[in-house]
Amino acid sequence: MKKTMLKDFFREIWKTKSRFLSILAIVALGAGFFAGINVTTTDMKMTATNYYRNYRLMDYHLQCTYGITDDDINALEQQKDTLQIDTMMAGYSKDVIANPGTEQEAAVKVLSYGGDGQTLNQYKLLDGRMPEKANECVVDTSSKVPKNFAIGETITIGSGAADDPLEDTLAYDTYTVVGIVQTPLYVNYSRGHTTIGNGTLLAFLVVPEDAFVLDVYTDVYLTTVGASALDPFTDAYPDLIDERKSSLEAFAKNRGTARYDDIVAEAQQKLEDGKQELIDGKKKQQTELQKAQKKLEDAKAQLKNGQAELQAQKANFEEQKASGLQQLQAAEAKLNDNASQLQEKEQTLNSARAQYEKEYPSAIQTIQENEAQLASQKQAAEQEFIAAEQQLAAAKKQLDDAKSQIDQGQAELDSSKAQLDDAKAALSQKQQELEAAKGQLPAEQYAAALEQLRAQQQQLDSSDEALRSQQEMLKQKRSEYETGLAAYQANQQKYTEQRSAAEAQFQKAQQQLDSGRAELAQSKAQLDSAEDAIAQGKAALENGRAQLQSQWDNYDRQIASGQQQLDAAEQKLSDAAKEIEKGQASYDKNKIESDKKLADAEKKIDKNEQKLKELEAPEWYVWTRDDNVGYPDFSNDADRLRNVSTVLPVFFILIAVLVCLTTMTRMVEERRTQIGTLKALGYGKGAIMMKYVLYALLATILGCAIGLSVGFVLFPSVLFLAYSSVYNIPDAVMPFHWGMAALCTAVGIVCMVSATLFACYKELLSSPAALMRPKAPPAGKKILLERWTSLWKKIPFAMKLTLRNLLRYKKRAAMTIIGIGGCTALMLTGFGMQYAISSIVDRQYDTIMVYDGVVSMKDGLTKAEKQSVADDIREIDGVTDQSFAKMVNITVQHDTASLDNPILMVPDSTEHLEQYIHLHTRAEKTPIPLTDDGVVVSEKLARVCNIQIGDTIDIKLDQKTVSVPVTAISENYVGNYVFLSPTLFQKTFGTLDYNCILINTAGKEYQDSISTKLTENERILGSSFNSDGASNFRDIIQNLNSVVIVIIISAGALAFIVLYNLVNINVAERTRELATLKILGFRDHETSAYIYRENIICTVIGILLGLFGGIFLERFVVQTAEVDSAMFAPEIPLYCFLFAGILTFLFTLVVNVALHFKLKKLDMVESLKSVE
Amino acid sequence: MAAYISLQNVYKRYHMGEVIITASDGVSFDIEKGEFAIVVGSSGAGKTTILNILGGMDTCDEGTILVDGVNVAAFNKKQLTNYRRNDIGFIFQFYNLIPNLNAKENVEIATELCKNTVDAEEMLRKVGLGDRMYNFPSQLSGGEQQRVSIARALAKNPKLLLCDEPTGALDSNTGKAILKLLQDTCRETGMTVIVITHNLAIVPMADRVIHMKNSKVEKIERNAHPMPVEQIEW
Repeated sequence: MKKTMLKDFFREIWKTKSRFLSILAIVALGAGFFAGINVTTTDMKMTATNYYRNYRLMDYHLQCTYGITDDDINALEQQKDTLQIDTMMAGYSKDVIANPGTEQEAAVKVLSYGGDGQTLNQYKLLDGRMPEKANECVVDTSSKVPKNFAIGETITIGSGAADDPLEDTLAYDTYTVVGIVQTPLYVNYSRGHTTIGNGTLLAFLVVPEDAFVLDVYTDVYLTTVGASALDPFTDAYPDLIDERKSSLEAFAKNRGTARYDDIVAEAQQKLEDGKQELIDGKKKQQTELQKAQKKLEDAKAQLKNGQAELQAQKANFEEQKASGLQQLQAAEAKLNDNASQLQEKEQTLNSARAQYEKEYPSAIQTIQENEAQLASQKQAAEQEFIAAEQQLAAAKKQLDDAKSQIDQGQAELDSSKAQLDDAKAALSQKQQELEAAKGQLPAEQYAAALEQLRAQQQQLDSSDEALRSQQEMLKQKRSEYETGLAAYQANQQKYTEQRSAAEAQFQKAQQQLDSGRAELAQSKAQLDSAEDAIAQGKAALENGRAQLQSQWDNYDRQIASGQQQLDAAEQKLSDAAKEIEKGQASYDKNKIESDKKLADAEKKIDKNEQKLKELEAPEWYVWTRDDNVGYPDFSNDADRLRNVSTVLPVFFILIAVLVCLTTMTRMVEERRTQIGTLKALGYGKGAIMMKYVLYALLATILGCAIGLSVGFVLFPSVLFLAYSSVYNIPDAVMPFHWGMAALCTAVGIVCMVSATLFACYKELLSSPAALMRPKAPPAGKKILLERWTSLWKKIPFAMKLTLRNLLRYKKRAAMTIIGIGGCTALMLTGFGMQYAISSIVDRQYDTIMVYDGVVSMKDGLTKAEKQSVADDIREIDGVTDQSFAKMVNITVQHDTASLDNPILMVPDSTEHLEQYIHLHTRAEKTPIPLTDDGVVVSEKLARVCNIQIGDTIDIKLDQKTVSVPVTAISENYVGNYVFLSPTLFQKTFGTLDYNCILINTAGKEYQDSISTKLTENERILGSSFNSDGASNFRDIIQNLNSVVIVIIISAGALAFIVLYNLVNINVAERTRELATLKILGFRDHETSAYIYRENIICTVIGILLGLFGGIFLERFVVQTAEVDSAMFAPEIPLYCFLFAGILTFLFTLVVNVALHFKLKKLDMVESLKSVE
Repeated sequence: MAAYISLQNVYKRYHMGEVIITASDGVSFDIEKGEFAIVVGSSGAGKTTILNILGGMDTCDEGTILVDGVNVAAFNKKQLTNYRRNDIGFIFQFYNLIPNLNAKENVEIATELCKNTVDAEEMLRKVGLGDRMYNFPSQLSGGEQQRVSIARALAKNPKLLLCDEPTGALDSNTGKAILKLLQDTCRETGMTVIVITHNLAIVPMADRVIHMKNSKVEKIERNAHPMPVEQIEW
């Protein structure tokens, strides 16, 4: 491509971006929807496959009624190669009641966890951790699980059956929840059925293997070689599984026989052992009884001895009692004697004391008087002494004074003498100095000084004289003093002598007084000592008394204790007597009991012997994945989804292609001048076409890329989300499906490119000159209607214009009509399908199968037993009606068609059938009687097997095939039924053996209690309620509903884009015309109305055609989506038509509003300028 | 008393990105009622802009445009639509007929819009298409289509007939016939006609000639004695 052409190409895209985008959008929507819906089933299955593979879901699940032993496992191990076992894992499971007795009570399944090394059915941990201790567990999660199934909670479990204590199976009855898991064993949220509680398992719970205390395994899971590589949703997988199942079954049968033999042998051994034990027991009983007898005898002899000894001890006691009493009485008499002696002594003392007390005051007075006299004498003497002493002291003082005067005079004299001597010395010195200085001094001075000295010498001499006289006086005074002193000393001597004489006298008197006093004191002391002696005597007496008292006490005590000992001995003896009696009684009882035990044991042995004789062989079950709850449903649901989603997307993509085609054609036509110019310039056809082809190609590829990348994720995500309410499969995979992508893109490219080539080629055939001339717009023509002049004249002008326009642009009108019609049909299909699917539940369970539940009885019950079951059911609170019925799977054959899933239903009476099942035709609801002339078949069965009323069909039941005529076809949606009257059944098949009971209840609220009661009944296999069936079915329908919603939304989106695109083309083609109208003065709304009229007419026609065509599309899609076991409602109610029509019309309106604004913006001047 | 049509200092500017193109640069002229006026100038002289503004298809940025005493320049969108609807008749170079309507209906589409109209059939007869009334545009020649176009414009009984190169796509004889029809209409009905052309040859037939150059009015001529169309050759 030339550079300029390339430039032109990109500019073209830019200029016409809205067209480019609309092609792109339509391609994207078409491809995305087609591919997205188509791969959803694949994605769902891939997700499931990955889940099964990654968590290693088993292929086979073996169970045995007796459990699976290590021997069985070893046997499997040995035959691993022949059985083509890949991996094998043994485990435990047990159905229990969680939270028994509380509001959260629920039947749950306990599974075992083999630790990290668990090879199969691995758990996916959603939260928390896996259990490590035996009392920890991880739990299931869903909306149905009890409230305490949450991390950190504890769950208490009970066995739910009285004859099967929990501790036989599990080590603990309380477990702590440590995590939340899911397992590939359960792909949906139903957990299956059980024989405890109300019969429905609500959850599972996983505990470590150690928590199980069983000595046999309950389950063995296997995978088979090569199966994991197969896609489980293809036929290859079930083929492989079925093929190898038989060899496993054969193995299981062998093991069953071997096990039976083992068990019988073991039981035999046990019986023998029991018998031996019984014999031993009998022997033991004999010896033990004898021993007991002997013991009793011994005890009796001992009792007798004891009694004799007691008698002797009693006599001894009395004797000792009497002697003790005598001794004590003697001691008491002696003590009283002593007391009277002491009393006499006390009297003597008291008289002596009285005398003393009488004499004592006068004696003491005499002494005191003498003492006073002495004291006064002493005082007088003392006074005399003091006076003498004073005289003496005065004399002494005079003497001392004189002495001190003398001493003082002497001292003065001495000091004067010293002064005089000093003065003499100083004078002599001066004389010497004067003599020395005689020569130097002037004579007069000398003379004066000499004179002065002479005067001083005179003075000194006079002083000397005075001093000598004083010396004389002092000497005289001293002699006087010495005479005074001698007199004083003589006086002193005299005083001392007098004093000592007086004192001696006083001392003698005092001595006399003191001796008087001492005499008194001595007599007092004698009295006191006598008193002390009496007190001592009294104390001794008191002591003796106390001793006697204690002896008395002692005596009493001894007597009492002796008595007590005697009593105790007596008691002991009587006890012993009683003991012996008791011993006798227990001996008797033991004997009876052990006799009974022995008898019981004997009986038990007999019973076991009987049991052994009746022992059934262990039954092995080989389950496959299809037996897992919900496993086959998933595949069915995915296929159902595929059925629903096959036709619509094709239709969808067809519309998309058609619209794109128109758009491209239009584009090429618009560019005819340019094409002509290029052609005139000499460009080849290929080069010219290239631009348009590339344009289409680019839009298609981009559209596919966007549509596919969104569609591959969006549609699966939406539908996964819808299905996640039913299926619990993690880790959704939504890969980019290259094959599908390539297919879609290829289809898109082929359609678009060929359309473009076709459009281009048509133009290129014309000559350049013709191309360069503006292409005359399609000529206006008279339309057929105009020939009907009278009518034509009555048509308003504007409408005429519209009608002509519609016919002028036939192709565009047709495209619009097809586009809108297609979308309407799609939406009608969506709504219709939603109705078809969702309405059947209510119809089935509210108008046809009106019974509330069905109870299946165990096989092999006698007629009486069945009647008792019926009676039991009648007793249950909430059951209003009941009726026997036979419901059994049959194969129906008619011509070449056959169906193996119908249920043969034989009521016990045709008259009461109306209470349980309403048989009627679908269209008129005419009741159909069940007669003995033939069978009534359900509508879907009739359709599948092509049965007409009056045909004869073959019914195969238990190897017996019977031909019966069909008398009527009844309305029925869920399942396929053949209704047969009891009489006709007996006529054709023979004995009628009812296997179930239909019941009606007083209300849904009784359902739980009823089903609990039913599970308790041993003769009942199980029960199911129609409300459960209805709700299960509703879940499935809910999923299909989401598909329908996706379809409706997508169809709406498509309708919108298609309309917008077509309207855009319409406007683009007629810009000039519209501009002219505007110039002429058309108002905005008039201009819009000019276009609207056409659009609305096209829309209305499109909607009508779409609604009509939609009926067929819906019917086709619904029939494609149907499965053999269900019929969807075949009619489409009015509201579906209304919804589809109104919605499409609404889209048209929205587009028209958008268009209005576009027209408003239309530039008149610009539109007129360009003439192509 | 102002003229019947009076443009005073009309400016029109187009913003093309950064560049401002002045399409009318202070245009002023008057046209009296009943005049046959020709606006002439080479391509890009601003003739069509003036016509668009005068015809109410576009608005001006400045200035006043008085038509019969009313300032059209001040009209809003709705008023402009009414103005086009009632007061203006357009004739285009490429006729712009609605292909889906026959001649009569093409006229009717205009007459249905306003009151005080001329009957479509009468109008068509007037323009000489009495016998082609039920023909569709594709069945008519260019001249005939232009006649339908004229009939459509005149049938509305407008105040003003605006013709944008009415003969541009026609051969000279047909063109003459069309011009004659226009001139006659002007003379006979007193309709004010404004013709836009780049063809200087036809200038003599007008009462008033407005020469435009570079978006401006170059000069305005008045022909006291307009020449009949028949005498003009080009």
